[in-house]
Amino acid sequence: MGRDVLGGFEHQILLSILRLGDDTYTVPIVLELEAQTGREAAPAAVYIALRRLEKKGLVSSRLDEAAGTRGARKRRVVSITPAGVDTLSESRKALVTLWDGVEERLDATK
Amino acid sequence: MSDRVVPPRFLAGVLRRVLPRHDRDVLLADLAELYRFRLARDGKLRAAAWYARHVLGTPLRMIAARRSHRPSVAIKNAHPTPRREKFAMESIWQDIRFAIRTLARAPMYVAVVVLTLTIGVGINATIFTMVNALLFRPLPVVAPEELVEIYSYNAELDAPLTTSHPDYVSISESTTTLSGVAGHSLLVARMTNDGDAELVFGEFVTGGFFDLLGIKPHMGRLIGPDDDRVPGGHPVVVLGHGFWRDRFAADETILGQVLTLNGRPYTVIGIAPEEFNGLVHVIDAQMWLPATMADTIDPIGAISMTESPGDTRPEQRGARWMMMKGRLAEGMGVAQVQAELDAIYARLRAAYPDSNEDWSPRVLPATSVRVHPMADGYLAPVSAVMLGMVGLVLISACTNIAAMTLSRASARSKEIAVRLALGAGKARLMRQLLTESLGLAFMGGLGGVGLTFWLRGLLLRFQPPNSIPMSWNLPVDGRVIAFAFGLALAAGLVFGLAPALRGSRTDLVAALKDGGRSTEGSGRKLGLRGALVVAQVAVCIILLVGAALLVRSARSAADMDLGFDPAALLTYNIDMGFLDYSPEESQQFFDDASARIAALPGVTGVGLASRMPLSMQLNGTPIYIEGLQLTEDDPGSQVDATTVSGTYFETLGVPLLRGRTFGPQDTADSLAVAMVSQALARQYYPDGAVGQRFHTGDLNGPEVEIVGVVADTKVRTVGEDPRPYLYLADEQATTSRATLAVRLDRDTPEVRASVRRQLLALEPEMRSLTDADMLGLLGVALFPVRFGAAMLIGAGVIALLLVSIGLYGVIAYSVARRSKEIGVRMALGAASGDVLQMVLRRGLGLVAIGAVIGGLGAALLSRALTSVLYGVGALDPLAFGAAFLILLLVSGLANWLPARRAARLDPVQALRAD
Repeated sequence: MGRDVLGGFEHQILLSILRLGDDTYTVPIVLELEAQTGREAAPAAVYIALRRLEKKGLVSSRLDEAAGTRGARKRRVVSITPAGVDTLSESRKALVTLWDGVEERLDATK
Repeated sequence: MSDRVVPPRFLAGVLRRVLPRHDRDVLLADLAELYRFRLARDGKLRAAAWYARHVLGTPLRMIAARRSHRPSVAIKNAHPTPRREKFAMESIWQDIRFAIRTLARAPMYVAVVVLTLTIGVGINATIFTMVNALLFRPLPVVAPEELVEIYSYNAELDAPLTTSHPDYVSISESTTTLSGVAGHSLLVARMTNDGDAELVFGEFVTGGFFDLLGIKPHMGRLIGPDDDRVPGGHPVVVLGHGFWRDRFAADETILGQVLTLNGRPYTVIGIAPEEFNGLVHVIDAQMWLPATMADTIDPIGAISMTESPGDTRPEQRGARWMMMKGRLAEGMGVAQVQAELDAIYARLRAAYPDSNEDWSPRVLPATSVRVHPMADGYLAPVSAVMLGMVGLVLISACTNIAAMTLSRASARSKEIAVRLALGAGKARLMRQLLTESLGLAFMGGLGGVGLTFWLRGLLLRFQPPNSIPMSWNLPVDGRVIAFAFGLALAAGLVFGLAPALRGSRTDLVAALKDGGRSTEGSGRKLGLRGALVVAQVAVCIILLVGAALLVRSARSAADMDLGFDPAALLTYNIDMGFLDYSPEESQQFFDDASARIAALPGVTGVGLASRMPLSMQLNGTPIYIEGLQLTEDDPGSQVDATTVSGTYFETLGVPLLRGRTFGPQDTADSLAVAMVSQALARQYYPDGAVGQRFHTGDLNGPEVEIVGVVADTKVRTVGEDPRPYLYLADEQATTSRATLAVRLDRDTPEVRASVRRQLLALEPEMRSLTDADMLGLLGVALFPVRFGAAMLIGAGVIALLLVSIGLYGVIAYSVARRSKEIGVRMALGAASGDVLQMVLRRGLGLVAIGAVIGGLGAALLSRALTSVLYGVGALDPLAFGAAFLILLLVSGLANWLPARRAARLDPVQALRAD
């Protein structure tokens, strides 16, 4: 992974996928992000980030032609890869380390 | 949440077209799903807004994402494109991105091209907005294709005219080919409200009018058959939506309130729907009144009066003042209606020979009539001339674009050569240039539409020179926007792409070797750019000649001898019938008023007339001259007539040529007397008119003796030839209506106020009192010429500006290219004067060729203006001379500036460069 640092938005998306479970797609991710962060997420931004994550090997996707009950509604279904899980936990570890001992200061400056 | 709920179709369509195919379906489905979610949560409006935002945002994000991890497009474009990819969305995106980058590197070029297109397209689309409102927009009614126009045609006047209310009733009662008939007429009324008075514009309508057109009220009710039965008995009014909104702040409690119109109270019964603004295409009607009320308020438009029984206008069969429309009954056509009406009119002729002799019906499909069959004949050519004129401005603007694109293309020839050398396909290059042109055209179209909205705002504020506040109905609708973009695209393609292509036809080796300089040849030949300047000069001359002709025409029309002096002449239209005066009482009132006003300081004369010259009212009267009329059936000679007081001629300044004017000896009991204009005398009485007698009405009608001949005045229009005009004695024809003409020493507000005071002192109840001055009325008559002159001057100035820019550009460009050659010449001993002359000769040569072509074009086209030229020939040498002189001066300057630079060239510098 080395050089490829996880962007903030990508980080949020990976976490959303984990929360939603495998075989999810753009729409639930957008709604999850909005529900958890309280900010509107552009579907195109999520879509593009997913493609980028796929390129980095952190998620895998496949085209699901008939996921809906009627008609051939196309959706790109994504799952997190083992590499994705690794990256997330690495990044979490790093963050937890960084956060260590900072919380009190944060409270103090409030 | 049903899957069947779909996002706004139009937006989805746009998105479908612009998204890269690879991601399209998935993204569209995602967006649709989220749209449904938002629809359920936030409501339709917010969901649609969200969707619209993402229709814009999604493609932009997709482009941005691609850009960040793809090789440079410039390099990629240099490679031949694999065939299968050629028309894929992806490569089009590449083209667009590349075009944006290329254009971004030439901001001045983009600015000038877009600005030029904006001006050219904006002006054209604005004129088109007017033409569209006037000629193309359908009537705002249900099924306009089923409507027919019914005119009463008078053989003597040879004109399709209006119909009387009793005739309308007869027709609507007996027709079976029409499912409904309605009459309508324009009106102007004076509305008084808490002491303030304003003129309002509206329509009289018969009871079936709104039903016939399928109009439903916005509020309250509309005028129905029960509002249109008793003459003078239905004081109700329906307000126009815009008038209600602007004048009464959309007051919902207005229903049942009372408006005072011409001194009489009218109850507001309803508000018309917003989309219905009356039957005059360009002007919003402010209110509608029942046709039976058309006595206390005057209708306007084509009115003809034949003596007929009845106290009020709606009761008189001879008072023709209503336009008529009908709706075809099931399965009927115009021919059947015409046949049926022919029979009805024949019955009316037999039953009412006095009023209906000479009148027959004319039925036309409503869709074939825009304003009136007679006016339509002028509207189309006038519209064509206006569009043609601004079209010339656009062409002129576009030649500058072409010239600029041409210079850019030659400057880019090196870049293009490099790309060709690296193997870029010619088709690909063309597509690239096409994309650039389209982009520029799109921006120009956008700017043009913006400019159209702005110019329309100016037009809406514009008020013609009469005192009725007009509210114009000039929507910038889909047709106008399509016109603007179509024009921008056509202009951008023809004038942007063609030169770009020509520039791209590059000799690779030469272009690379010479640093992109000499693809234009030595610059000494005429070349394409020279031809463009010639075209521009020609267009400019045509516009300047047109402007000069109209200016001369407007001036000579203002100086034209009207036969009376319009300066410092006030007119008051007074109808004492509003106040229930009898004709005799009215006559007394007018006599008293004339005497009192004549005694005022500053007033030099007072006269009375039933009709003033150049007023829109037409008063025809048949006269029967012994010896001229052969049989009983002869319809007589229709002449324009007015009833005047003896002081009228002196007041207006119409000289008496022979005989006498009306005097105290001419009373109601004495022999009827008349005065005639010189034209009438010449036409009917070559051996002298004074003392001759004729009959009015019919061959056995009252006998009238001619007592005097006066000089001709203009009767209907400023431009007309002397027209026969008959003056009857006002003491012998009592009427409650008259125009009081007051001649002043000097027209000041004080004098106007004192005249007004005298009138109000005589009758304090008199409300409908408007003073107008004859110069103002003249302004109305001359308005088309003045408006046309102003438009052409504007167009001419823009064209002149464009010519100077174009000429300057071409000459400066050729000087820059020839700087080496000029350097050599100077080094070999050419004086700077020689160089100046050499450069000037080239530029002025172009101007001369253009001027000759333009002069010929102007001579051909100025004929189109003859109908509005007063006292000026279409080939007026002064107008042509002025146009050439102005062009010569301006183009001389535009030429001299770069020539001087060439003459001051330092040969050493010039030879050293490059």
